[in-house]
Amino acid sequence: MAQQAKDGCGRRLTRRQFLTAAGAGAAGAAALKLAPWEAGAAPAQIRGTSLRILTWSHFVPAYDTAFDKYAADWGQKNGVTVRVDHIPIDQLPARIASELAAGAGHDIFQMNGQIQTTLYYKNMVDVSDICDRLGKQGGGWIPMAKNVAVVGGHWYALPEFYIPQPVLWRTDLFKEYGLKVPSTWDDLRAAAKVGKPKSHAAGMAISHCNDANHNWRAVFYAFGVKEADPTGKEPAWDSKELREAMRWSKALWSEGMTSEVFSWDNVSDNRSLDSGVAIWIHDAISAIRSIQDSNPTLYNNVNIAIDGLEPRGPAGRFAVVDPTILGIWKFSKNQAAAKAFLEEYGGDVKFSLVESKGYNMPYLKKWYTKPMPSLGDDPKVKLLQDWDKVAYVFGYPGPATAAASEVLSTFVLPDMLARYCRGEDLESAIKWGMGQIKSIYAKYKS
Amino acid sequence: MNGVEALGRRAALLEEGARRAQARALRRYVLVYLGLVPFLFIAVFPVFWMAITAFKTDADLVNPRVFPFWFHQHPTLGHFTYLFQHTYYGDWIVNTMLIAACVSLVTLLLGVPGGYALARLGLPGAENMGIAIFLGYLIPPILLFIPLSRVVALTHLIDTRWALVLVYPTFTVPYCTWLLSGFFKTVPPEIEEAALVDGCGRVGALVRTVLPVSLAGILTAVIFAFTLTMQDFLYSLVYVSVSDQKPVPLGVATDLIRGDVYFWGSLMAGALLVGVPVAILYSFFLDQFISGITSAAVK
Amino acid sequence: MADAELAVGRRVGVRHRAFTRERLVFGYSLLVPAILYMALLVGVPFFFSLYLALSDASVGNQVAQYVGLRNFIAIFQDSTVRLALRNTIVFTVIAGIFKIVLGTLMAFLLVQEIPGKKFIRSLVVLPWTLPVAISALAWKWMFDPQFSAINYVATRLHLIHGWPNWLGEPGLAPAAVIAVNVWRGFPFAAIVLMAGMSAVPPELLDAAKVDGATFFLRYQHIVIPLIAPILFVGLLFDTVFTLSDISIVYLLTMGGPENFTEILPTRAFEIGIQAGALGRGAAIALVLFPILVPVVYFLLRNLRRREAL
Repeated sequence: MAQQAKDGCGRRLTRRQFLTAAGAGAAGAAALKLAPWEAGAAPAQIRGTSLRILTWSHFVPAYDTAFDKYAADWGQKNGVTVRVDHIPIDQLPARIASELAAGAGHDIFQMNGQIQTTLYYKNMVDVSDICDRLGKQGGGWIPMAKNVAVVGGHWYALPEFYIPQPVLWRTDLFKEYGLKVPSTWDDLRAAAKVGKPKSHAAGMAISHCNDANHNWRAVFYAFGVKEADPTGKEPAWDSKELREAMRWSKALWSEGMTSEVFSWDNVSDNRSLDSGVAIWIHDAISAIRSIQDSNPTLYNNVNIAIDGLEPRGPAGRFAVVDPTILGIWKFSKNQAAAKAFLEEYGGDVKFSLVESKGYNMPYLKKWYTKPMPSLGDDPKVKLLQDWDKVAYVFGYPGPATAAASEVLSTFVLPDMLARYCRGEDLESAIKWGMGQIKSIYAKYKS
Repeated sequence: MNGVEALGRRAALLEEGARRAQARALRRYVLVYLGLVPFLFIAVFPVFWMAITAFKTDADLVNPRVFPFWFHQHPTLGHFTYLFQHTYYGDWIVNTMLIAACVSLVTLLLGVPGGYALARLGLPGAENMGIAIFLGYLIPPILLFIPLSRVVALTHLIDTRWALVLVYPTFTVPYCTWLLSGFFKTVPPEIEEAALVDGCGRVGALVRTVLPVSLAGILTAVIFAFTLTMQDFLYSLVYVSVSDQKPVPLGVATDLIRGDVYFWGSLMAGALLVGVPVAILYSFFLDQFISGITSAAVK
Repeated sequence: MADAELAVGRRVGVRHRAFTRERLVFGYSLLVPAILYMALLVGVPFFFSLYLALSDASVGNQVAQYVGLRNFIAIFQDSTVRLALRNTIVFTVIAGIFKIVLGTLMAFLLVQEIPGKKFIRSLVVLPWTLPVAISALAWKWMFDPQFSAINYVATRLHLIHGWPNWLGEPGLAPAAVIAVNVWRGFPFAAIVLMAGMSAVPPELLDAAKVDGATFFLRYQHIVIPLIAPILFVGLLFDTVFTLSDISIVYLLTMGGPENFTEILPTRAFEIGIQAGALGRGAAIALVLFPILVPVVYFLLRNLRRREAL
């Protein structure tokens, strides 16, 4: 308590300063129905300030270079000194937690995969005005955007982009084995079964890594498994569908995958595909970007996605994507510049699409008109232009709550599946998993 | 004649003895070397592998069909030049050295007086105080780093290398104060008393007599401070996110893993460029280091 | 006469007392910087994290409600934390034993006078001087299920059959984690033991040899008792490092497969930071503390007591 009061003291002055400064601008802007920075020229109040941005090391390294330049150019245009720091995705949560404890660090920070808006929103600046405007310009947000950025009706972060994880499959091997073009998860299972004895097993990690979380959620959702009720309060995993999904997944593993998948990390499946082993994997397209130049034959033989979407399961097609969002700390002394930057960057979807070579998928509906910039020009990735129709995020059908996030970060799903694959009885593996999930949800209820 | 013969026989015997001694020594060498082989293998094999990786071209590295421990394409210095041309590796080395030197200095500034007071002045409760300081070392960084963030923020050092100079002594001071206090106990009190009688004063006695004979202990403390500094990852990760302020281990692990791309060659090159010189330094100071530990532990 | 003697005695007494007071003031003022630093940078944060462990704090809400021991009850109901506690103890003990055995053998060889001793020593301390975060990555690559260099060598030497998946099998992954810890730590164990061996006066050994004591007897009765305190200290330093180090497990397995390599610090990180439940994370990180403190206290006390003998 004392600490909070102290925080308030330390910040009150700057916040009041800010409010007085911003008040004037906001009054003018309200009359025009425009934010001051929307008028084009940079408002005087942000000139001469500095802005610090914390983001990940992008899986497409060229994007980091482009983003740094983008931020620097924006800074130059607006008279703001901008500095961007990149850290590996796995290390973002620790750094963010530490920045809040310190009450210092960056102005804008990214959450990536591990979305914790529900935990942090009290310390994040409400950016509803920006998101509303961007939504209007961009033809509305896809439904998933709200699940990662909205708490209690307010937007606390800008949905930046999400990373699709389609199936990447070898057309040459499918042809060689006389397999039909896949459309369902069952087709893929059949292909894996044929490929494995010929040392072309399929692969999805069943281990403690982010890919395992996303890949198997895509399968489980396709079987109709629901993580929670639509409000996200009560867990809803335990179901007939869960049992079916488990049985099917074990069969897929035993028929079509090796036990390597129990030790895979986020990169192992890329290597398996890139070295010509895997008949299919389920991962972000960065997996094949690395062989585009070094092994063009293989690159040409890999197809992206199934019917331009995720494979069909009994309950439909579901993709569980890796979302990223950008938030502004309340302790930031330069919220005006931060907001101005977010608004410009958030609206510049084209930059994001082009520079990431179609890796960054937008949350704004307008950008899904074909052909999408960059994506539409690439004969391979252009198949991803309908991904908004299948994009979901963990916690489905509820929002990405703290409880759902803990289920994700403690790897309950891959562990439950691994137990079953390794010979534990189905009900006992499920009982273990449900025990974990129930106790996690119970902790956040009080 | 007899005398000469006897002399000759004696010489022959001596020669024989010497030869036998030599043979024995040789046998001992061989045995010791043979005994060391497995240990050297265990210790060096991964390092050797890292070194090979550092000089291999990328294509050579991920070729699963060839013997992984040798070159199948020409060795390259590309990973080393990459370090210096495309990353802040030069800065990282400077930072690491600077941080280690400053941390050592701070550790000595706190640990030498502290250890001396605990060891020599018969303070009531000295033993418990010493243990209390050491207990600080038991608190895992994972527990400490969140509350410590606030302290670091108060000093406005966040995102500079000085933040690490501030926090690393949290694990070097307990360790080294305790070591040094053990070491100071071994210095004979007479030296100090003589200095006191000569009118040196207490500080003078400490500086002029006790410190010079405690060099091994001080060196030990410095080596520990250096090593512990090199092993940290968490503190540097959360307190320093700016590339040109990072120390080597953090810089290498964060800036050479770009998403799912590992710059294996440069990673290994970066680790070896700091690890190997430190190991060589060790071998020079190992004897002093050993005597430092000995006195600290048993006295 | 008697008065004069008394006066002198009193004067001496006063002087002695002044001397003591001056010494105490001097002593405590020497201690102040270290104590102050530790109190501010370790003590205060530590007590704050104790408070965190007793509260429902989350990463986003770091000043929260007091909840008593609820976090501790919750974590002991978590089967993964119990497993992590077990793993932590098992890993530390097994790795400790290996480090002592390997360290002793190597120290015994390294104290021998042989040509090239310095060079050999600098080679064997390499594992200890490389940043652990990076050597763990190198090991991960060597354990890679597809490209494992270890398997490449071992299968060709016919040491193993098949192609074991070191980081993916519940039986092998803990062994892999322990192996990396041992690899990193045994040179230090050897250094510490060399220190111990050099503390044994050679005359003592010679005397025992003359008395006809066998090699093992000499070891049992002379070397081991003399080495023991140093060994304990080395072990203590190393154990503390092992107990708080997360980088090896974090980089090799992230606690997998199925939590078989989960240890308390990694679990604390997962719960406290990645899942954001700061209070529970702090509680997990504190689990070993009540056991460690008395152990360390008695160990350090008794080590130093030996000096009095």
